Amino acid sequence: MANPYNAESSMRTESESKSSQSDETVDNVSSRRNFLRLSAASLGAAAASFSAGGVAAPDVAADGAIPSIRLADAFKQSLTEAPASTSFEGAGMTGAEVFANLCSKEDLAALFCCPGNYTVINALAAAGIPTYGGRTEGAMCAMADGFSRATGEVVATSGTEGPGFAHMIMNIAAANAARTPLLVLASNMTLAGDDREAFIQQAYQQPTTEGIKKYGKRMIDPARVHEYGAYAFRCLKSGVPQPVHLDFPAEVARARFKSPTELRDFYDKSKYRSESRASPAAKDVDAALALIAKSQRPLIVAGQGVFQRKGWDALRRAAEKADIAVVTSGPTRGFFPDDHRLSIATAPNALLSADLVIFVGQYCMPSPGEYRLDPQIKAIRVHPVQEDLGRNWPLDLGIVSDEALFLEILADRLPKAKRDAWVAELTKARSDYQAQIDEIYKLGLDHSAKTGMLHPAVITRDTQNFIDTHPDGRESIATGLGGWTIGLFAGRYMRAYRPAQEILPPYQYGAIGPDMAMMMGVSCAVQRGVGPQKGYEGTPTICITSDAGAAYSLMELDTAIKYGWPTITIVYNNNAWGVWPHASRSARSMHMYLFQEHLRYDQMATALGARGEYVRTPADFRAALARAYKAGRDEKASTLINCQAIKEFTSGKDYPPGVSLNAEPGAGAIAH
Amino acid sequence: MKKYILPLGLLVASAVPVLAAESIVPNTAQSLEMGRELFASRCAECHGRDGKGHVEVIADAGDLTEPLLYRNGSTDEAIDRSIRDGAGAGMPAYSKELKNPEDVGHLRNYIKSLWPADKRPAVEK
Repeated sequence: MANPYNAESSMRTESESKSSQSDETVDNVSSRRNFLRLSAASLGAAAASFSAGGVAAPDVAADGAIPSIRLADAFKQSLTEAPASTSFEGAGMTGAEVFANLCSKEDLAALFCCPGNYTVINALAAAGIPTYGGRTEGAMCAMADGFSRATGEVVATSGTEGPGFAHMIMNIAAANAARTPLLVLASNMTLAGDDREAFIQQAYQQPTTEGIKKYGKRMIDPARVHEYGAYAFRCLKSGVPQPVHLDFPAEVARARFKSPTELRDFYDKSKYRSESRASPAAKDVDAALALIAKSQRPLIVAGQGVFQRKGWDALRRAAEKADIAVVTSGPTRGFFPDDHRLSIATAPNALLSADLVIFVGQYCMPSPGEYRLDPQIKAIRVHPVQEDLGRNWPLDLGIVSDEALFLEILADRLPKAKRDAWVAELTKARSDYQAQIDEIYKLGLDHSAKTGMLHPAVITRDTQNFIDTHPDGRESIATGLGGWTIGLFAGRYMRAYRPAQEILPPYQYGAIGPDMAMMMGVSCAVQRGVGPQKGYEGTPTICITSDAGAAYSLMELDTAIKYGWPTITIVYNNNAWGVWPHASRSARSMHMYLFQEHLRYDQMATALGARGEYVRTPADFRAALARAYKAGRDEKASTLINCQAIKEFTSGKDYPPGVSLNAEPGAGAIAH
Repeated sequence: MKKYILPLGLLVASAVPVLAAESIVPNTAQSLEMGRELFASRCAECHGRDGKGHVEVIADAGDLTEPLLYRNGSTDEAIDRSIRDGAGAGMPAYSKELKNPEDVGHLRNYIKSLWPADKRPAVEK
């Protein structure tokens, strides 16, 4: 396996730090290194750090200054270690090693974790699975989710028994809503201690993930560890994926096996699961073709299943062959380009005109009325699992099929057709929508000029403009849009042109907070060039989030910098939870919705080893974004841009148009 | 968009100032249907499909089914103003999205159809 840690961190190691104390070139006053130098000089205090071997080694510069932030030599050394093989010979294999080998054979793409569940995560690392350790289990779980949203690959997350596992819950639920193939692993004390509150951290894990997983198991029989590992991957790689949760009591993780015969169902993956996929019945395809032939304004809603089954080429071929409009749904965008002549993603006023909708791989199914479609519209739904057909949305035709197979057959069998009136309507609707958001951008510029603060329309439109005009190509930068006020504005302006160029952290579950961590997972995937991110290695990613959202995973900047994932985080700092209008008629409530004003998230980032930028004007923002990109691409540095705003930008009465939800389905849709 | 044939009077009225155009949209079944569609796509996320404002996760939206509870007035002019310019701290201004002045009238007609039967305007033939 190629070394997955191919990204050189921007951070210096202990040894580099000792060999060079004055080799830095500082190009702007807010650079991380300059900040650190100033901090050290002004504080003039001493501190101790510890060497890699765990032996206390006071490391204070001769002049008493605080040492710079740096990576331990042991960190980089650890990343260069080769995988270790295990066998039933000699001392045999532990349950954790049996499980890790299975994960390796299943090409588990990555593990994002915090220490805990030690036997299992160490076995996974030793087996060669790319592993990453961070600061909180919740954020690492979100990182895993982000990696999968950007690649479609199966990923794992892990935490320690009770507390670490409990910390992951919000992000397991978010992954479940997004139908992410996420393997949730956690240690869980001992079978012998069950029901006795023995020692510490006892918790019943499986009931905690009830309703937010596809399958889960507390393993109680060591001999079945491989069997349950196989069960997990069968669920993760078949049908509609969702999280799978395995909890490992010590008796299972630390069991020793000296022969395969000691393990139940110790089969190869070719025997415990199948790659066979459901193909659509010929009569169903005929019926679909007949409905499409009668339609004047057909529309395909391509859901997460199309992305996960990599059906985007067939989708495009089918759409272009018969002038079928397309909009994607789900947490991953770009597998049908927003600027395609048949895209309806930025043409919300055309949605009501569609007379036939073909849902393909729409895992999270809306009800009529939740999509801006004619309630009388004819509906076809293509889904890999029969029992979901007809749920929520009444169908004229339900088809059991793998998404990619259906689209390939559709593309092959569809007769060529021109729907000029429909295409013209799409073009006009896109143009009208663009005019509308251009007008809002102008309002945003006015609001910014009058207040001296950055309006969210300006931040998001100028971010997309930076991407659209960048010499590296507008397809290069992967983005993620979160936060409430800023997220809804970002949905209007941000575009995706290639598969997985954009992910939506709040998709369906609506969690405010995983944004930064998810985008670090995306950045990891980009730097490794996994799946659709191949070809964009070295490119920084951009996360748009809020001050409220940043609080949940800001500490993970440490993790991004450790592993050399260049991330640009744009924080819309409006001094408040975006939902503050809930308190506007409740005088004694407002304090619960407000933060201290003018908090300096840029300085927090700097203290974590990242670059920090503080901006309040459109011109300063554009310049900061350009510097952040250059530092990310050239030095693998991460940057947080603190965009100072005011909470009143949320209000349509004071600063029109205020915040409103975006049309669903389409760009900026977050519910389904 | 779906095409609706507007009465000649409406076409003429659309050329006069906005408030007048909105106020003269007759409360017909056709107007209610157009208002219902607009309500479903622009208002229901916050005010709920039944207008009762129970969707608390999004906003502190008002209950539209009882005019006595309207925080910014329940006259035709007040309702139109809230739709166009926003209301309170959370309701967005829809003047950029609803370019057609009659749309505000259709929306207002539909909203008033949610009122109790004894307060609801009669539907015109």
